[in-house]
Amino acid sequence: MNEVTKNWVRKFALDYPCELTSVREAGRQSREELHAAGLAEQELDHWELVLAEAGNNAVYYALEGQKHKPVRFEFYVDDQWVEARIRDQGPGFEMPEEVELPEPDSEHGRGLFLIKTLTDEAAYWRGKGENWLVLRKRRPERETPASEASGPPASAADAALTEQLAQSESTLELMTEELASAYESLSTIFRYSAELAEQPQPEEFARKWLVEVCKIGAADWFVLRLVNENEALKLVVSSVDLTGREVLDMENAGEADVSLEIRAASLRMDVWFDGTLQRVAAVDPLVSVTGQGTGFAHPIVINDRLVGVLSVGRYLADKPFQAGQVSIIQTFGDFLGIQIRNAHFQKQQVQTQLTARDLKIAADIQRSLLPKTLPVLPGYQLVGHYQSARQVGGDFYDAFETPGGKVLMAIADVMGKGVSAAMFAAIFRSQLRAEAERERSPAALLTMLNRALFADLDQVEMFITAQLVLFNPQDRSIVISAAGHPPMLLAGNDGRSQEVEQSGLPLGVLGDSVYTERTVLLPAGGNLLLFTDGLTEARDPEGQLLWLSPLEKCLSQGAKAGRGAEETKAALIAIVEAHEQGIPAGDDQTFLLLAERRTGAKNLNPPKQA
Amino acid sequence: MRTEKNGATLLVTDLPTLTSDNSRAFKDFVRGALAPEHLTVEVDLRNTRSVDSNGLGALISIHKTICVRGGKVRLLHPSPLIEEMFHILQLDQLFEIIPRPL
Repeated sequence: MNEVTKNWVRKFALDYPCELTSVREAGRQSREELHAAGLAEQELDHWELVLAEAGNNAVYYALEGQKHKPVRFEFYVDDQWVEARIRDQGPGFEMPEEVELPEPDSEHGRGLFLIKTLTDEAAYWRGKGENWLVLRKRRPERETPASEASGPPASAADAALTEQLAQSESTLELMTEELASAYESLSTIFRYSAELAEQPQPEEFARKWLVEVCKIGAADWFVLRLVNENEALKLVVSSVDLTGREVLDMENAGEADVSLEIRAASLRMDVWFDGTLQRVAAVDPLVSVTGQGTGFAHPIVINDRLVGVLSVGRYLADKPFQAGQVSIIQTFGDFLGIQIRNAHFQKQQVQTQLTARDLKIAADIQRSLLPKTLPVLPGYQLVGHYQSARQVGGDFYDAFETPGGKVLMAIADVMGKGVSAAMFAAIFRSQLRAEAERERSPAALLTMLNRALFADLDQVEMFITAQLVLFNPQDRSIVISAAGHPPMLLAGNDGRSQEVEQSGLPLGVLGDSVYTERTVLLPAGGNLLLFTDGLTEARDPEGQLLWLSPLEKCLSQGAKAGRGAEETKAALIAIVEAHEQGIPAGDDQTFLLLAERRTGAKNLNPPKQA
Repeated sequence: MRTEKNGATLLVTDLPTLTSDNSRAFKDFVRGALAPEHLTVEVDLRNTRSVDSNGLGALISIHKTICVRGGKVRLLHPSPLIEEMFHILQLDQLFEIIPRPL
């Protein structure tokens, strides 16, 4: 049933508004046209009745939102057949093999019976938003004038055979078209599947294959959009220039003059367009870019969830798509949408797995950096605290004895997260430990560390804030040097506290930075606190920062009350937790606390687990 | 569309078409004209060019209304095409059809 395979003598088409009152006029016009094509009166009577029934159904069952499209009658006539195609915009139906009459007193259900009875062949090609009822009726045999007759008259058996052959040919044509359509879809999908596995970029792949599908479907252009994380339609690939209109917001989907793509997404059904859509040209990317051609926007829905919209079209309005072409494009569009979505999903899964693996490695490195034990100093207690944020950061602390009985305490915060931050922390720690063997001053160590790490840090645009403190328990002296790090806090048993700040650029900012240091004394019965900014920048549910004061107050109260380091550590942690009220920390929280024991107190503590 | 009342018969005439666009009006019009004494509805189809399945539905509806009171619908002088349609749909068993004179 195809005008390509048949040599039709006459073709014509009629469009009429999707209204019942127009059906009769359409039938009358069709009759005139068919009369001009040479049909006999009885043929005309039957066709008028058939077209009235088909036309009524097309109007009755047209979907809301599709009624602006005309119902179309197309006719193909030759000496042997008349074929009528009636396009509707309804949900479609399955054409039954046999139609039974309803009960005699039923007021409905006779239209299809009439159609099937008065025609010789009836098929229904379903599309989304557009269907075609295709009807064929054999024309009565003309009386052949004697002058036209050639050869001996055919016998009755010959005539029956001829009739049978004609019917078989017709059936084969119908089957061939259906199979060709299915074959095109299937073969395209198989080829697509085979290549998808080797193609790392689904978007480029989609472009390549949409070009091919457009060739199969005889379309001039395509636009594929997928729903993004903001529930907007984002352009993925397109054969037309949609610069500046890459993303379509679906919030306005309920308004009348929104784009065809949004309407298709909103209605979850194909939206067709043709040259009658001038009014939306100003706001509709498709119409403004492709002009007044014909085509449709096809929503891609998977498991009742909108995935995207594939739009295809032709530049000429008088060349509508055929049902078989529409079917191929729709089928492939659905398949393509699923594949791209799966590819994105796989990509996300791989990324999530990589991130999780990265974080685990980083966490392992981070844990390995923390000292297993801290130095034990007569008359002093040293404790550390490290609380990682959800994403492992680059905080770490260290403390170890240096030649001369001194203790070097270090605290650092590597800007960044994950493995890279942890790696720099590890390098920082190993270099620090190696260089400290030679009893360098904190400032000299920072200068050396900056020179050693600058090239690598600069290359990845990272930096490290750090603070080094060399404590001599013999004379209570504290030598401090810092690289862009928060101040050190000191508190004495007189209840007073002080911030000790030493300026210096973070490591990795300038290659030739020279760091300075200063010396202060630990107050009597004093506490010393080194910390990272994750502690002072802890946030409450309203987003307010903790700042320094509560920590300073806690430290001085602890010193005044003669509390041990563990007790003060617990108090500091409690202050931070009370401030956060259960809100997860946004950054690592790290501190190192040295507390002087009260005179006479015995050193009962074994080396502490940090 | 007009009606004439003749005893127990209600005659409906002037019906150029009986199709989807006027079948409901036809049904309402006839029902409105039916009086208790009417036992037969005659629909004159001699000038009716086309009837479709919606028009048939309207006739069947009238048929059911009049049957309740033991009456019937008689179709007068339909065109060969319309008569053929009634025959195809086996409605010639439901309605009394008076053929068009030769």
